[in-house]
Amino acid sequence: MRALIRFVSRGPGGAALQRDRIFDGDVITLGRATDQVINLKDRRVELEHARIVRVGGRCLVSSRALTGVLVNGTVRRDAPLAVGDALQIGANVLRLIPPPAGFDLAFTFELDDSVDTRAVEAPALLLTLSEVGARMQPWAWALSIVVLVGALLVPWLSSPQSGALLPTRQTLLPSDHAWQAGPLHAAHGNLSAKCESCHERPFARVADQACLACHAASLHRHVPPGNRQLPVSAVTRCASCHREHDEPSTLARNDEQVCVSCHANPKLTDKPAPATDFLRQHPAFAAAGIGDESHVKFPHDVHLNPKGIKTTTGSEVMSCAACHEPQAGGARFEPISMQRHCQRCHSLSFDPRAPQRAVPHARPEIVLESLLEYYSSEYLQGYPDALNTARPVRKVARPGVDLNAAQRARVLARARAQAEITARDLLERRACVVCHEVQRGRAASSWTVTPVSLRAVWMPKARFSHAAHATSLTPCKTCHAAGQSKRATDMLMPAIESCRACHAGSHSAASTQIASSCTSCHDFHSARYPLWQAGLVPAAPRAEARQQ
Amino acid sequence: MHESLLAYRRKRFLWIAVALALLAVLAYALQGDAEPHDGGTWLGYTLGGVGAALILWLTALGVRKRSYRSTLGSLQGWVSAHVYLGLALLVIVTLHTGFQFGWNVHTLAYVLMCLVIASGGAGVVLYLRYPRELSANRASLTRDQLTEQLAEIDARSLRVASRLPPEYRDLAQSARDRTRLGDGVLALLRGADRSQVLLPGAAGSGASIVMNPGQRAVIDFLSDRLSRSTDGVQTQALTELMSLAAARRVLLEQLRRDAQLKAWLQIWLYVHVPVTFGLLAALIAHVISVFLYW
Repeated sequence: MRALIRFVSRGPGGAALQRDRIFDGDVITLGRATDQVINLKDRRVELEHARIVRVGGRCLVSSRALTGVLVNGTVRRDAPLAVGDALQIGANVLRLIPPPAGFDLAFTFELDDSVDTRAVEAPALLLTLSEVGARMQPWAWALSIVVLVGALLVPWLSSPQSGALLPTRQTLLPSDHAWQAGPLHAAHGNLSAKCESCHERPFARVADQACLACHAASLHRHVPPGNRQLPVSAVTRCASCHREHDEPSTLARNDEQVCVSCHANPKLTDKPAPATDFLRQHPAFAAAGIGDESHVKFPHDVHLNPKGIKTTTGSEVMSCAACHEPQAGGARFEPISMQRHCQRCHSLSFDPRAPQRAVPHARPEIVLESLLEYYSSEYLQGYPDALNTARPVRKVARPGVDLNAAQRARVLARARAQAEITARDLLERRACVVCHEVQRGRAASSWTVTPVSLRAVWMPKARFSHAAHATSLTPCKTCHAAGQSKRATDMLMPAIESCRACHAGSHSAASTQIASSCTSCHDFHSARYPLWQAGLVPAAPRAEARQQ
Repeated sequence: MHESLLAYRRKRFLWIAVALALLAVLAYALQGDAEPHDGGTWLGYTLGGVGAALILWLTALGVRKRSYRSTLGSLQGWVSAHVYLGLALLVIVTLHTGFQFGWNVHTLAYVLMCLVIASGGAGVVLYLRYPRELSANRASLTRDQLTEQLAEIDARSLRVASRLPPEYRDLAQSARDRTRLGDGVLALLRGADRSQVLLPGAAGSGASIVMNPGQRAVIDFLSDRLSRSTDGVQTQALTELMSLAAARRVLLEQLRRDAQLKAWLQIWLYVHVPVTFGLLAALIAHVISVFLYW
């Protein structure tokens, strides 16, 4: 198809200007797209609006556009074209003119403002969120301000530190209670939700003084106040260990970080070695180095002889429990007592004729005194022949015999001599010296016995309950090798290895071991040290006080 | 070749976000049971610090996307990182809370953050789904072009109607005047067509306003009149009017669907952006209150 396209435009004054273009091709496309044969610069026109083709000697116009093509004033989708027809697409008008020789088709192309339909406006449609009035900014402002006021300003004004004291704590309005991450522990319920009880100054961490305001009277220090080796800050902050507002509420950390932060470094502590984990790094038990200072002679092996030991009532097999009686609660044992535990066999009798008579288990001078009393009384009362008899014979009462002063003096001198002989025998050979360290004094008939000091607690810095360890699988000998001990100076306390058979550190414990942290055995607030507020409450007696 | 922002640079930011989240989970799982795992442990402070820094950076997207001259990474990279790191933020901050929730400032900040992330997630889903549909519906025409076509059809309808009795001109005029698409947030989202038309009554009775969604009332009316028309010239004009009404229906349908899709593509931002500012305020309140009552 060969077509002549005549572009007509109106110059100034309405003069028509013409520009011809010759087209060779099958299809004349009309549309807004730039690849169209005739490019229609009209926004109402679609990209590919219409096309003109030649079929069997006739030209046809077709359009798939919504607005279609007006052919002679009528909307058409497909229409045959004849000379004289006018096609209108938007404001563009094509008029078919007789084709010159050699052409199949010819038309003028003109922009005709008179047929412009833009006089009718499209209906005003509100088609986007911003057109229907939706705005982000006011919401953003409102939300930020509500949050800042409700979550920061009002709570701050309700806190005593601000000085404003808005009374919103008891209301549903926000108060500084809205800052609370978790509830207080029940133990602190008496603070009645007054944040300032602990949070005394804004932007400052809770000070120990806040805790001590209540706890100083009952709380022991960790180290004596005068210990200069310790950096004070390392151990003194209560909150290093004690945490509030946690869920679940535990009040204290249950790891050893607080302990290890100092005890890993012996320079910070007064300890010889670091302690970080019970299994991996822990000093040997100090009891091993103490040595025995009891000043008593006691072979455990003799007493615990499985074949039995000779007693006044025959042979008897003794057990540990015969002497070591658990205290109520079972953690420790009652003190060993001569009267209750030893005297049944280790009698302090001295006169075979009066086996029920015994000297008191007391200082040597009292022993001597009681012997003196005994013999004086015996000699004066019942032995008229005492003057002649070196040894008192069986007492026979002979009433009515009186002694004069000189005779009495002689009898008493005799009694004293006998008392001294018996005392020496008891103290130096037969009784006292069996268990005690006896030294003869400078004066005649005077002795000293080294005071016995039996330890009730060998490892005072550790907590240990015998009751918690007493099972049928762990008899006493599991830890205490008493059956082989020949002397009282043998150390019968277990070494750390005994404990490690079952216990390991909280980081080193295998699945078959008991994970034990520092506080499993040690108290941080040990009663060994003074109370924070010394003097307010009498210090508890030292738990390891020696038993006489 | 178009590359989805989710697949940007072979999902580089997905892997970064997954690594970050895994690191946080691992640290959380491996910390001892010395104390409850809340924001007050060393890990809690660390996660909180990382979370706060992430929130500030994620918010900075709003600044970056407006600074056209910025050379600080491509905007597509920023959005890709914004999506993935925003999701990692949810993991990090949830671990920061240690699952300790209550009626307090701190949980408020967390809830606002979850709202922001959820609305952002909705935005990603909408953006994966709707733009394709949007351009398919609009067939490369802009909204202005669609509107001008509508004006063209209206003008032609009025012109054709003027060849008919005056009631038809009133009909065409009222169908145009009472066209009502959108006109409200919910109507836009629902894609409601609440158009009306003043229909001439049967002989002797008055005109009445009826609903005209999809120009159905007009088309029904015209087809009824067409079926009873005996005059050739009138039939021709009615046919033309009818075809214009059908074209109008198609255009309005395109405009309606276009507006609905666009509204969905934007509505999540109306939650995402204001709540982000609420979150920033709550974050400030959270941090200040924690250290005010240290």
